[in-house]
Amino acid sequence: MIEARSLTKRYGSTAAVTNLSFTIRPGLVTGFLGPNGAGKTTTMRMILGLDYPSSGTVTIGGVPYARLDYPMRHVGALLEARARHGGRTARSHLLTLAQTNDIPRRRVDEVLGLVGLADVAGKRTKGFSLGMSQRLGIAAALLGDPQILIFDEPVNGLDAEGIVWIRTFMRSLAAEGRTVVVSSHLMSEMENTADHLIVIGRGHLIADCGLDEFIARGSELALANGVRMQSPAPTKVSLEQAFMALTADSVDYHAGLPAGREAAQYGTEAGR
Amino acid sequence: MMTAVTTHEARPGARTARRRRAGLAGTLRSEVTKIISVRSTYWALVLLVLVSVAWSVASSTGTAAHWTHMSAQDRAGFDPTQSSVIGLVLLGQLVIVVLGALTITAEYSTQAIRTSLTVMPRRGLLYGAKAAVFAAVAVAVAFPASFLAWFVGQRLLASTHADATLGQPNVLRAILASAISVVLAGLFSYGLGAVLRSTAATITAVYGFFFLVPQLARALPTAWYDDAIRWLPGGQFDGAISTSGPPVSPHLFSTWGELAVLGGYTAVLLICGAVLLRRRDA
Repeated sequence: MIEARSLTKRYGSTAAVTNLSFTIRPGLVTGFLGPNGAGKTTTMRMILGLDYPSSGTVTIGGVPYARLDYPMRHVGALLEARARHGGRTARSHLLTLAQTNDIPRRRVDEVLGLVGLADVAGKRTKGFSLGMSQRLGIAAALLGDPQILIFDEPVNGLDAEGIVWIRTFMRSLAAEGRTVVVSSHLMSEMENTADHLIVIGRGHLIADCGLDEFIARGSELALANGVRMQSPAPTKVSLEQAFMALTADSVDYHAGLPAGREAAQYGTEAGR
Repeated sequence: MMTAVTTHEARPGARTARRRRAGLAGTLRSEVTKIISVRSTYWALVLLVLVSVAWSVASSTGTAAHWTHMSAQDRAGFDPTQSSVIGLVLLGQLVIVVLGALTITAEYSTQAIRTSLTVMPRRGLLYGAKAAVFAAVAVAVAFPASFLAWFVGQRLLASTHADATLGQPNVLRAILASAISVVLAGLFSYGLGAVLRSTAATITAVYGFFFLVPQLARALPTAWYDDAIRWLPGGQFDGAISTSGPPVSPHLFSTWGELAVLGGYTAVLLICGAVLLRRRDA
């Protein structure tokens, strides 16, 4: 369980995250959703103890991340798939991580098999495609067999096969009773993956609820704003449309479209 | 493609029965794996040994060839030990500071530092383990390199009968001082790398401190220069590896004094690096 209490992060006078409180529960895929620049990555970095909150706290099972006895055995994280030294082989790379947490060497080959990279275990990772990098990052996250998995934009830049693979993997991890947190700015992706949503915009919490409830709330607003419904069920919009309606005030760049009404309509067209 | 992942009954944040935690031993093992699993380490270390020995070969061969033409005064002033190990000090340092910087700055340029700090959030411990492993590698290479360069140099000077032996005054001191200065220079660079977090900036700054600033200091009036140069980190390396007795000039430190100055700068930088790593967002 991840608990954030009044989490705030300021860089100089700019607030990246403001007074964020939420609880992430096990056994679900929790989607961490927001437009680009909403504070998703900042929040994840604070969960992992990489960035220090300006105020507020975030804990893993009641303990700040830095005080976990074996961090990798509680939390596995994939922040930047390519954030590693490309000169090392996949196996050496994972070994450097495993050793810090006293994880046995054989587990490295286990996780490489799990993500389908056993054949390239001895290859230097410099030449890995983005899809392979994502798999390697997920292998790293799984090394400690953790109960909590955190993925930042895991499907970014992946091809269709890679996206399906990651989606299936995340669902199966949650089905095993693990806590899975996945951030994305892609609504269609979340609609297929998440059970629960935490939505932030400009660093503020917009919603913390089930996927269905979020769509219901967004539908009301979108329909009230006059979204032209072309789907068979005129009372329910897609997650993307719901999201556009609920975060219309929170996006940084509108590509020339004013907030609110038009943004919601734009959602319908972009959602084709 | 999907395979079931085995699940432990461990709960997040729960303490294991023996209250053990990820600590120094594992982090040291990890840092050893890191440093031996990239090719640049081997390139750098081989280069370090090569340039040190090559300098010694070139210098000793040249001196031996010209020995008969040298004046008595030049022969008396010739320091066979200094001329054999100064290559390690000057060129070896050029190499070791790159390796020292890369040990920490490569983590920033690849952003791997975030992964490293996620798996080992005790930052001071990670920083210390990294420095210790780098220092151990530097010691393991610099000391053999200094003795090798010295032995090779003396062999090639044998025809002059001016070659030194280990038992002569200050010879061993000069050999050890050359290796120590290389290790310290590497750690100096590591500490500055932790402060600057950029490979290019760190290497430029270290070269500036060690090689450029002492040259610029020559623009000072002589009296000031002698006082200033002994306080510079790269000021008096050649003096530190001289086998002559106490420094000729009262303005200069002894060998150990010179190393203590470099060691002092190194300690300050290592501490600054540790404090900043702990304080800053990664």
